[in-house]
Amino acid sequence: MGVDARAAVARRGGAFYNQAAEAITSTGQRIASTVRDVGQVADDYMTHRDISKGSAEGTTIVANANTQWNETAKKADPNDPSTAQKFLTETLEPALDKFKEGFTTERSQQWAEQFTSQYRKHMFEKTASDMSSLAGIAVQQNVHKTVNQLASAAASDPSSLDFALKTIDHAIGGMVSSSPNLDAETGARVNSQLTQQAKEAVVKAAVSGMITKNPNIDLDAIQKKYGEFIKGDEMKTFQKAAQTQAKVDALQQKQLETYTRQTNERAAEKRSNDIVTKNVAIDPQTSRPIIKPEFFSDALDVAKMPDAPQGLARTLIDWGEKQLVKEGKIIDDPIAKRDLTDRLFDPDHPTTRIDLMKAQTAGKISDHTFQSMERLVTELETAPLKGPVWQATTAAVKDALIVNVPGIPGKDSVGTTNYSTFMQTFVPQYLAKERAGTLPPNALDLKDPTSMISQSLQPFKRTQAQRMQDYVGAAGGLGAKPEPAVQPANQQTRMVGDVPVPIALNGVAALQFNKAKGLWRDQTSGTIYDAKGNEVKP
Amino acid sequence: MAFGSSTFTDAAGAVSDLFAAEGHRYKAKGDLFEAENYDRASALATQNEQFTEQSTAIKQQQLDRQNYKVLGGQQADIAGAGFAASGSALDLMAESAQQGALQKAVGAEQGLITEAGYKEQAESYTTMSKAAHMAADAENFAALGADITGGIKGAAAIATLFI
Repeated sequence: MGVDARAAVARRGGAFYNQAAEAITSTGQRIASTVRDVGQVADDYMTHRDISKGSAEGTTIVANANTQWNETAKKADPNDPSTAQKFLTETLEPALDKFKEGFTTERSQQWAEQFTSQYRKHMFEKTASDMSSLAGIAVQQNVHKTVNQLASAAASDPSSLDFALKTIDHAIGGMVSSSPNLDAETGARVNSQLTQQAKEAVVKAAVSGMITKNPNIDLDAIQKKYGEFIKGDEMKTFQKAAQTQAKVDALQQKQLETYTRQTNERAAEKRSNDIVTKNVAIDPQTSRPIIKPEFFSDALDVAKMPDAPQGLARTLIDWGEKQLVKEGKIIDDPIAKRDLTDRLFDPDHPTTRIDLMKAQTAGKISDHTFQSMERLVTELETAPLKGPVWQATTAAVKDALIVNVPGIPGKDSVGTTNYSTFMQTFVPQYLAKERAGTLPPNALDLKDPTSMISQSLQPFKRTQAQRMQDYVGAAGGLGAKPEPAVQPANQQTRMVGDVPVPIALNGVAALQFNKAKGLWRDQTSGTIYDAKGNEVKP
Repeated sequence: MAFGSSTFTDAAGAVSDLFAAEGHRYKAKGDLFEAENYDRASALATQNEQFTEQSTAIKQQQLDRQNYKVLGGQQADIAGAGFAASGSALDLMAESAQQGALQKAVGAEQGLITEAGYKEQAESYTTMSKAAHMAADAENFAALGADITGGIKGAAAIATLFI
């Protein structure tokens, strides 16, 4: 009763439910497939966008990191093992992390991860390599310093050569093995290369030192012992060096002897000056030298000094004796005075105190001239005027004051005297202003009529007619007065202002005339003279 | 992990699983529907068995009554004809009694056979109902599993957006 129908209902109803379930499941699968397809498209798009943008940023990061590392490596201590690690963790990793933040999809992140991983690996290798290279360079520099010191030591003390060679092995091996950044390959290369180079350098320095000490050293024995460090052509060089050294030694010996002799000569000359300074004084009343008795014994000591110039002591003694027996008044020899004046500024053979003494002893310069020029020599010893400007200036002054006409016989004694007097007057004033710092810039400008030298030259200038008359007159020319043997030819022509200078005062450089009292005054020494040139004692 | 193919694979998996769960639930409903109807079929078979038993008993009584009527009629006929209840009359009555007994036995046997058929049918549908229940339970469990996996995949898809 209905059993089969009910069973049929059950089977059919179950089948319907199954059909519905299959439909729902199938719908879900289709939706899932759609989601996957759409998602794949979106993922592809976003991945492409991320990678495209990230490629450019990655290039920038690589460039920046390389630059930063290069800067870091430049300033880094090559022996600091933390430099590379510090850069990787504190500079590179933050940059790579930030770089990866810009990637949103799984595949773009994988790409970024692969990029950063590869670059991290590259930078790890690069920094390690760079630090190793830097460490190698540092080791090389340190080795060079060590080798230089050892080479220097071996050159100055060749007996230390064997010790130096052992020190090289020990030092280079120690530097390489203790360097924390040096990799094994670089270390081995540095060790092998530097050791041989260092030993060669030290051996060569030592051999050079040996040759310097003894040019006749046995080079064959050296080659046998240290042949692995010296090439054949270098041995030839050493042989030539030995020959050259022998010549140099001989030359040096000669130079040393010359230097010693020159030093001794200078010492003798200085001693002579000291003897004059110490034992000679000038009597302000008579302008005559006052000589202490020790002068002569001291002068004899000069003769005993090694390499004392020939005749130096004799000059001192002759001069002293001459002063003691001097009679009458000596008038300057213009030629001798001019020579002494010219040579005041000679850079090679300047006028010395001894030259003045010789001239005075020979009766060629007066006591007054001796004193004036001696003071000038002393001034010039303190502040030499020997530059090219001075040479040119003195030559120009000489041309301006002394007449010399080639082809016409004559002699300008007045000009020569004026030239000497001018120099004795002008130079002290010039040096005084120079010391005081008040020297005008145009002081030596002869073309400027307001310059110091032009103003000083003014009193010594003569008319053209006077110059020619003085010149030809000295040679006995027509209408010329013969030049006295011991007097300046134009004693009336020297003028101070509008007052003619007496003949006796022609040798005084700087004169001043008091018209009210009719007295002359030597501005240099302060001595007072009457109208005829006779000294007035206070 | 980030936004990418796995995001959409997970999302698609979640959608697929959630729909599959719904499918499993429909299948479970179908199984329960089948079980319910098998139960009803089984009940009907049982009811038929009982009806058959009652029907057979009634038929047995009807046959007993018919046999009594035949034998009673024969006794009456014999007696009415004046025959003694002996000899052939007894043979005839014995044969009739045997015939009646045979029919009753056959009827009883047929009733038992029919009852047994219904009983077998009822047990069969009961077994099928149990199987359908078991299938429904399995489908419900599968639906629960698909819900869970769908949820996990959905969560994974969302998670890819943040990690």
